[in-house]
Amino acid sequence: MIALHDVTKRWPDGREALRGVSLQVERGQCLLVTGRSGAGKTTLLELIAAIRRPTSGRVLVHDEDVGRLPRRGVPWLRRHLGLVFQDHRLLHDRSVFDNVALPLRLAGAEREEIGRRVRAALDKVGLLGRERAMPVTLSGGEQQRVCIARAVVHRPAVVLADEPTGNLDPGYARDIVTLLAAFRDVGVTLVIATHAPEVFAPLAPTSAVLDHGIRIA
Amino acid sequence: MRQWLRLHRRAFADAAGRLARGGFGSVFDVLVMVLALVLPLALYLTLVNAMPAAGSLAADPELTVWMRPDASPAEVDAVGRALRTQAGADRVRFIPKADALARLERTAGLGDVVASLGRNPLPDAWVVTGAREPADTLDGLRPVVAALPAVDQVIVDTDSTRRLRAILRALRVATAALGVLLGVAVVAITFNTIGLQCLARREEIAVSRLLGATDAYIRRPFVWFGALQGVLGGLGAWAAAALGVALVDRELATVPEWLAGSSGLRALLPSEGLALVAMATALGATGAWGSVWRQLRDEAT
Ligand SMILES: Nc1ncnc2c1ncn2[C@@H]1O[C@H](COP(=O)(O)OP(=O)(O)O)[C@@H](O)[C@H]1O
Ligand SMILES: [Mg+2]
Repeated sequence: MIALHDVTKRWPDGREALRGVSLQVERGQCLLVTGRSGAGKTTLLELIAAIRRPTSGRVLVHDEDVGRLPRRGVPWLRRHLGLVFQDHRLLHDRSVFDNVALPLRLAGAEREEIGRRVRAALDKVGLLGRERAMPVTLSGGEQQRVCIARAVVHRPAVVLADEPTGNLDPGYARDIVTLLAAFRDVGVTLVIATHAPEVFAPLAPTSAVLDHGIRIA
Repeated sequence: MRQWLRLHRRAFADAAGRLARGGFGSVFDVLVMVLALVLPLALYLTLVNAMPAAGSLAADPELTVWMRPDASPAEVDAVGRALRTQAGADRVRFIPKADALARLERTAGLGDVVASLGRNPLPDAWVVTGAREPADTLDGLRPVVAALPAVDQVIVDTDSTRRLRAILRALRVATAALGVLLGVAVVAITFNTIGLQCLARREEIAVSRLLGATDAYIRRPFVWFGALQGVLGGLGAWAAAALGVALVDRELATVPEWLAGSSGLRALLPSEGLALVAMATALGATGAWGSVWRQLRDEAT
């Protein structure tokens, strides 16, 4: 379960990315965070992943107040999350395989298991056979799919996806939605930030609409 | 535990691969480290070799009491007891005449001469070690000891041995100071190298942290890298020192006194060499650790 209680995030310059936002997602449910560019969607996901800390209010992930998580607890939290970044954040000097393997390596998984799971994840995003490719040789949509494979390869309990279909052709976008639905069906909690909610209708999501950092629906 | 070993194995492989692929850069870094280690090492070896008498020339002032050859064991003991009660006598050591003779045979190669003597011409002796400061404490002791029964002669260090000893002490201090200084240099070298590596791998570090890497995970390959650099630097310095000693030894072998064989210069003992490598490894690892620590602290999240 993920919950935000009256969360405000103020930048050092005094502007607010989020103001008094509250929301809740049950385990195995899907929440769409929508709103125009600059509404605060990315910031909201970053608070859940403890990439940033709220100025006030509480951010709960499985009853843990991650806004006040001690520094040592942060890696532990992140290993239970799957993060899809808007800008992919792939390592450009590593192959597709190594990029997707990273979360498993962090956890000290065995070689064999790494190989098996990475191939399974790449298969799901339609990139099996491209393990040895370098990210720069991939299109934007393919890089996006590598990022999604990396986010789910370690079977996280929660997937936070920032514009996961932003760069995808409609066909692949549908595949990704199907993939996310499969995860939700086995109990994974999804929080998806998007400016195009229609694509995710098959997930039967609840949604939170942000406008200038305020929840308006 | 298995997992922990696996993480270390991977970090080590990562570091070794990086070092191997580093080419010129790696070689240069290791060379600088070798230079830093070789300087104090050379001074140390000069010190242990320039003082073949280092064993007999103790660091602290000494007073030697020769007993008369005909002194009875009781008289000898009485002098020992008297010496122990003297203020300024830190340590009192007995050298029986048999020991002195054995040493003479061994060290001076006078076995034949000694054998031809038939009897031991050497007296029993007491050696008193005084505190280093003030250096003249033992001088005051001299007349008192000379007056004891059955004492033949009392010898206090001469001025020249004192001077020599002072030089020796100064050299030791200089070696230690230089060692510490250049040890710091080794730490600084790895700190710098690893700092640059961290910068080059900034994106990787940032992404790894976003995906849940602990500080220890990030640090591991860098610390291994520093340690490996230290191992290579230590081994290099050891080899350089051995080469240096061999070259000097060859030059000295042409001096007539040593024509019979080698000059007896010694290189590092295996134990000293291993200690050197271990120290360099520890210094390298320390520098790397500190460097990554600073990097991680500076870039929170
Ligand atoms: N690091 C930052 N420092 C200051 N302002 C920021 C920072 N990141 C984002 N913002 C501002 O916060 C607001 C919300 O940004 P963001 O969460 O990225 O919106 P969205 O993802 O909905 O487009 C924007 O006005 C943006 O300019
Ligand atoms: Mg955004």
